[in-house]
Amino acid sequence: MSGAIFRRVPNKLAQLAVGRGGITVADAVKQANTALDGLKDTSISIIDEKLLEIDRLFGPGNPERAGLSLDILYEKASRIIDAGGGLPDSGLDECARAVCDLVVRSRANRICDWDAIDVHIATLKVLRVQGQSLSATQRWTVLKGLSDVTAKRAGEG
Amino acid sequence: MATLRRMLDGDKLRLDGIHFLLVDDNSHALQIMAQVVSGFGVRNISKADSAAAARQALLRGGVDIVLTDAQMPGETGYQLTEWIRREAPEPTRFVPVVIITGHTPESDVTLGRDMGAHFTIAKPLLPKVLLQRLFWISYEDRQFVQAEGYVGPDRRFKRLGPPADTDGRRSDDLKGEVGEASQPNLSQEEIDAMMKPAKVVL
Repeated sequence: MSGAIFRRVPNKLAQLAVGRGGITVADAVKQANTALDGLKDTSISIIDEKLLEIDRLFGPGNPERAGLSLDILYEKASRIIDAGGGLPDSGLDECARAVCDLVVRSRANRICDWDAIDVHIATLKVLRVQGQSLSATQRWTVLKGLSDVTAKRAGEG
Repeated sequence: MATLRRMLDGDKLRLDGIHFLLVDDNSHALQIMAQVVSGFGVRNISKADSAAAARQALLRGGVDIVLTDAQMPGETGYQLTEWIRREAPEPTRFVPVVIITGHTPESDVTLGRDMGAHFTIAKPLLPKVLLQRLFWISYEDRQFVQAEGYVGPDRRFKRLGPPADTDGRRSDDLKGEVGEASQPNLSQEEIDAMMKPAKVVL
């Protein structure tokens, strides 16, 4: 292929979605949020299940944890992010993302700092219980502290 | 000229005639996506639990937009996007692709953009965030680029935005300075800024 070819292609969304009729943005968002409410209990169950698994496998109570792949921790934290909508404004999804960050950075820097992992797991548990009752500023402070820990303990701070 | 207007509560969209293909290996995440788009009034929804299953659905034809998870075992959402752009028959090759991702390092956002995705959205999936991207895809007029190193929607953005160091006076003006991410995990605004940089002059 030599050079770039620019084409106008049919955009069915532009053809069908934009025009007369349809529902307003406000109604669409409201309906979607109502539809999601039906999944809230399942989302919370998944969050609790993954939290328990993370604590059981990677918490300080498991003497065998050093033999486990951190990919498992990443996968379970990812599932918490997926279901994070079940506990909005708790900071739990951001905290789970921080866990993923820690795993990725630890892998890149070839460091496995169990103290940092313990702090992240403890924060997940705190936010599960109290996250929604914290103010946005308080949640930000907690997550910022976690972010600093991640950078420092993964060898980048 | 492409525009990037923020949708308003009173704006209308009609999605009941659009065929959505939703792709995620995690059944709960797939269910969340389906609930959200059905809430938008979408009636024609196909689901796939892997990139391979998505390819089969796409080869059958008729899909108008793809929402895919980024990290799936085996073939990822990025690889699926690359297949759509480079190997799928027309007009499937041109379908809008939105990548939905849990953990979002900068490298993954860049990868999604370079594979030809229209947008990347961070999980947990929020209806308003997804609808805004559908709104942009519906209203924008991006050309499709086919080049040796890239196939997908034009990554350049023609709007200059407000003057430097100002936030603009219009309600839908983007900020003049996007700033640099200080953490590897990006916020939705940072992802958007990378997918549609607002300072490029054509």
